Amino acid sequence: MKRQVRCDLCPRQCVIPEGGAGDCRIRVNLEGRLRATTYGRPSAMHIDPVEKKPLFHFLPATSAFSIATAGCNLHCLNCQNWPLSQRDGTEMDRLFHAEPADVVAAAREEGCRSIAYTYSDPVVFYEYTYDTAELARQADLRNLMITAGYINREPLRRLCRVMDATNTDLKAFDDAFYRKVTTARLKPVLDALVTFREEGVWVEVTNLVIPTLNDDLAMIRRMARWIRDELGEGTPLHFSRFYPRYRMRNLPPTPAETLVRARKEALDAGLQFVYIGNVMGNPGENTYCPRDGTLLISRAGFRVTENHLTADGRCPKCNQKIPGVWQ
Amino acid sequence: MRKPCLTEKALPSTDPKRRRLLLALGLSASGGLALARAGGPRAGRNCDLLSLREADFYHRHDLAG
Repeated sequence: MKRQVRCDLCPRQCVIPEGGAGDCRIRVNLEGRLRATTYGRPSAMHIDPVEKKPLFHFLPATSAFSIATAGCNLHCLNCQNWPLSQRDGTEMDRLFHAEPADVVAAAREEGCRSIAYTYSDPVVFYEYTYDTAELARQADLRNLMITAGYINREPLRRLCRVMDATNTDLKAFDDAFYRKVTTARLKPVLDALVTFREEGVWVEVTNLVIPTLNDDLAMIRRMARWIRDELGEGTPLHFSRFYPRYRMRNLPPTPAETLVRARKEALDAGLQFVYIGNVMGNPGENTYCPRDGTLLISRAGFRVTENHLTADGRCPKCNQKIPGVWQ
Repeated sequence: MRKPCLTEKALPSTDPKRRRLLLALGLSASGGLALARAGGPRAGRNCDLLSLREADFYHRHDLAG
């Protein structure tokens, strides 16, 4: 008998022969047992402003202790972090040894309010994420999952028990785009977003707008309507600027006007908080009251320059409650 | 499915192939932590390939052959 295993973590459901790895490169069948080879072996550890994730409605102006291991279950042609995500642990120049308790201790020591599982995708370093997040909760730290959301429902529901917030990439509202550019599919990502909401995790969504590939305004309108209907009108949506990277260097950076048009489309579709990312100095970085238009939070890049929200997250002028986690 | 990147064939700890594999994972062939390339916040843990954390959410998928 050949001791194959089938990984049930993500929709790929890789059948992995003995000695082989899944599509993510880092979940490996050793003697008939699936092993998480990057558990406790992050290749990236940084302290980031939470705004970099981006999470704009979650403890603004605080720091997130951010970790990632090698590997990813998507293979986006435009990946910004491909030297991390498109490698296995054996190919990394940097390989720390940090057990979950080490990560939590370091986050506390650095004065961070949260731990972000990010950069590549925490789906593939699932066990490390879960164990660290569980300990972090006990240490009064919040947990942030920055992900493409390509994960099966059962493991995600379990992970949601220890997650406080997510920024999930919705890379396009088009399955053909997903197949061609990311090698994944759209439907499981939409299901994951709904699961996050159902499980009470704070959700923000990022859409990286790539010229000619997913910048069609009609598609953006459909996406915004779906977010409004399935996740709620108060769900923040971030339109982020594309820069040519990895295997997609043939396209130019997204023009700022494209992002402005996308933002208007999403606002017109009924979303209340639509942001523009990777464009410094654009008013689309700021949070405005959806009722009276008051500037609530002003940002410059990842920095909060003004915060006029009341302590319980309301507009100081009209008392409108602003959705988010503010303390 | 990508090419197999790791194999554990019960090689003795002195076997060069096993040593290379363990070192690549940041482990020393004798079981101590190597991490020579990176350094890290902690050192000196005992570890071996088969002590790597077992993954959640998988099942056996045996095929005759």
